[in-house]
Amino acid sequence: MEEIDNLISNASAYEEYSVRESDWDQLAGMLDDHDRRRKALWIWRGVTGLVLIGVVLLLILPWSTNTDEIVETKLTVASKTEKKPIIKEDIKIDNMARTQDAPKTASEKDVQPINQMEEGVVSKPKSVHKTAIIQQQMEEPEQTVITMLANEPSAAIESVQILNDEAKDNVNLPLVEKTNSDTANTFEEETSKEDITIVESDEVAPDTISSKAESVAINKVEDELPPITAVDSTILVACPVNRRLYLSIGAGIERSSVTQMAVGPTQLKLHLGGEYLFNRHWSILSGLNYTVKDYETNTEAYTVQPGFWTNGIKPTRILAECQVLETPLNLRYYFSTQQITSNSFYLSAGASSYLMASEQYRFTYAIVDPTLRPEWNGKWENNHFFSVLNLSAGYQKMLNNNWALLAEPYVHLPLTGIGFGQVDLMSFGLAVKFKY
Amino acid sequence: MATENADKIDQSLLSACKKNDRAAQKAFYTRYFSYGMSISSRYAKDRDEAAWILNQAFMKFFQNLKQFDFSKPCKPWLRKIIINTAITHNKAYYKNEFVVDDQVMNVRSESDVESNLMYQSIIEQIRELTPMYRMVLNLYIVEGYKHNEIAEMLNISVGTSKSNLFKARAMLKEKLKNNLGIEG
Repeated sequence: MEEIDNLISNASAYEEYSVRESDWDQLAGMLDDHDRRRKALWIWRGVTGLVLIGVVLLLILPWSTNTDEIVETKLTVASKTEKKPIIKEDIKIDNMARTQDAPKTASEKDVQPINQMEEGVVSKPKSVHKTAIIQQQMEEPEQTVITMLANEPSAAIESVQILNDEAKDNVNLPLVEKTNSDTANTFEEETSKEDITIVESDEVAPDTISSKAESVAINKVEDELPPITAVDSTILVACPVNRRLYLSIGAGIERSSVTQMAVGPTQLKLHLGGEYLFNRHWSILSGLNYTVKDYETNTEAYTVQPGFWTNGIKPTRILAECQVLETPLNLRYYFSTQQITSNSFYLSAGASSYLMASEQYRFTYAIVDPTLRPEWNGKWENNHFFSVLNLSAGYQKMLNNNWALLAEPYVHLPLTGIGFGQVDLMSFGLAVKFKY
Repeated sequence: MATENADKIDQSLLSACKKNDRAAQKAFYTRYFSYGMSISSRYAKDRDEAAWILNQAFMKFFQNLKQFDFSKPCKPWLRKIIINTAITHNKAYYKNEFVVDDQVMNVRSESDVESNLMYQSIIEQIRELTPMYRMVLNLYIVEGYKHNEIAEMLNISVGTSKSNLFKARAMLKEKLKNNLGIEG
C-alpha cells in the first residue's frame, strides 16, 4: 500500500462529527413523510381493493337481479270495442313477425299490479281477459322481440307504441305494428278492466331471445265495466343495467404550470383507456395517457438535496421538459336519466399516477460560470403514485349505437411533488375521445 | 465486556426502532451519527451533502429493520447501507460529472483548506476530487473493495476503475503537496 493510502485510511479513522439538531430534524421529517405516504398508500390499496372486489361482484351477479333499475318506458295500448274474434295476434317488429303461445307459467303470484308500483300510471281500467307479453332484450336491441297474446277474444290491441323517444332509441324499438287480421269477431266485449303489470319471468317462449328478458304482462280482466273505445295506458318496463366495458381512444391539448409561474406551452396528449359501467349513472375509468409536461419554475419551487447546486449557487430559472406516462383511476357520473348509451353530461374525479419516462431540466444562472451545473436529465427515475388529483367535466354525444364522442375539459392538481425537483405541477387541458 | 454492553444497548434501541419509536430512533441516530458521517463525508462534496446521504441511509436502515438479524452487530450493515446510498446518490446527482476524464473536475475555492488538522484537511482534499475519483479512492483504499467489485458497483470496467484510482492518487498527492506540504 502506498503512503498516500495510509494517510487516507488514517484520516478516515480520525474523523469525529457531532450531531446537529438540524440533522436529526431533517431525518425526522423524512421519517414522518414516509409514515404519511405509507398510510396514504394503504388507504389507496384498500380503496382499490374494494373497487376491484365490487367490480368482480358486479360481474358475477346475475343480470336478472337488477330489477330495481326501472326505465320508465311508456307504452300505449289502444283498445277498441270492435267485435272481433281475437284468438291470437302477431306483432311484427323490424319485419320479424313472431307468434307466441301464452306463457302458461305467468302465475298470478308473479303478477303485480302496476298501480301498486306507481300510482297514476294506469289510466283506465279495461275489460277483457287478455294478456300481452312484452319482452325487451335491452342488451341486444336489434333482437328485441315484442309478442302479444290474447288469451281470450277481447278488445283488439291496435298498437303498442313507445312514447319515450330516448328509451325507444336505447332499445332500438320501432313502433310496433299490429298485424291482426280483420276477421270478424262475434265475441263482444262488454266490460273491460285492465291490470297492467310487470312480471319477471324466465320462462319465455322458445324462440324468444333471452330467458333473462323482462316481461310485461298486461292482463285484462273481464268484469262488468262499460266498454272503452280507446285507452292510453302507461306501463313501466323493467330494464337491466348496461354493465359493460367500453374502450376509448383520444387526444387532447394540455398546458402545465408550477404555482405562481408562467403557464408552459401547449402540448399534445394521447389517450388510451377503458371504462367500466357498473351503474346507470356511474362508471370507473382507467387507462394510459402520454403527454409532455413543459413548464418553467424557479429554485423556490424546485426542491433538491443540499449540495446539489455547485458552490451553493442557485439558478434563477429552470426550464423543464418531462415526458410522462399517466395512469388515471377515475370515477365518472353521467347525468342522463336514461341508459348510458345516450347523450349526456358527466363529471369525473379521481387520481393519477405519473411515471416520469424522461426528465430534462435546464438551469439558467445570473452569472456565467462553466463550473455551475447546466442541466439534469433522467429516465424512469421518478414515479409518483396517485400523486395528482383529476377533475373533469364533459359531454358525451352518441354517434351511433356503438360509438360515442366525448369532449372533456380537465384539470390535474398536485397532491405531492412531481419529478426530480418535487414541484407542485398543475396541468389543464381539453381531451377529445372516441368511446366504443 | 464493553462490546457486549454496546451490543445490548444496540439491540434494545433497535427493538424500539423497529416499532417506529421516534425517541429510540433519535438515540440510535445520535449514537451512530459520527460513525456514519465518517463514511458518508468521504463520498460527499461537503458536510451538508454528507448529512443528506447519511440521513437517506438511516431512512433505509430504519425502514428495513425487519430484515436485520438482531443477533449480529449493526455496524457492518449500517456501513454497507451508507456506502450503497452514497454510490446511488453520486450516480443520480452527478451523472454528468461521473466520467473518468479529469478535465471535468470542479474547481472549488481553496481558501478553506488551510487547517491545522492534517487529517481533516486530507478529507477535504478527497472531497474536492471528482465524484468518480472520490468513490473509487474510497471504495478501494478505505473500504477495501477489489477493482472487479468496484467496477460492478459503479457500472464501469475494471480498467476504468484502476485508471481512476491511479489518477485519483496522483491528483490527491499533488493537492496534498501543494496545499498542505505533505509528500504522499
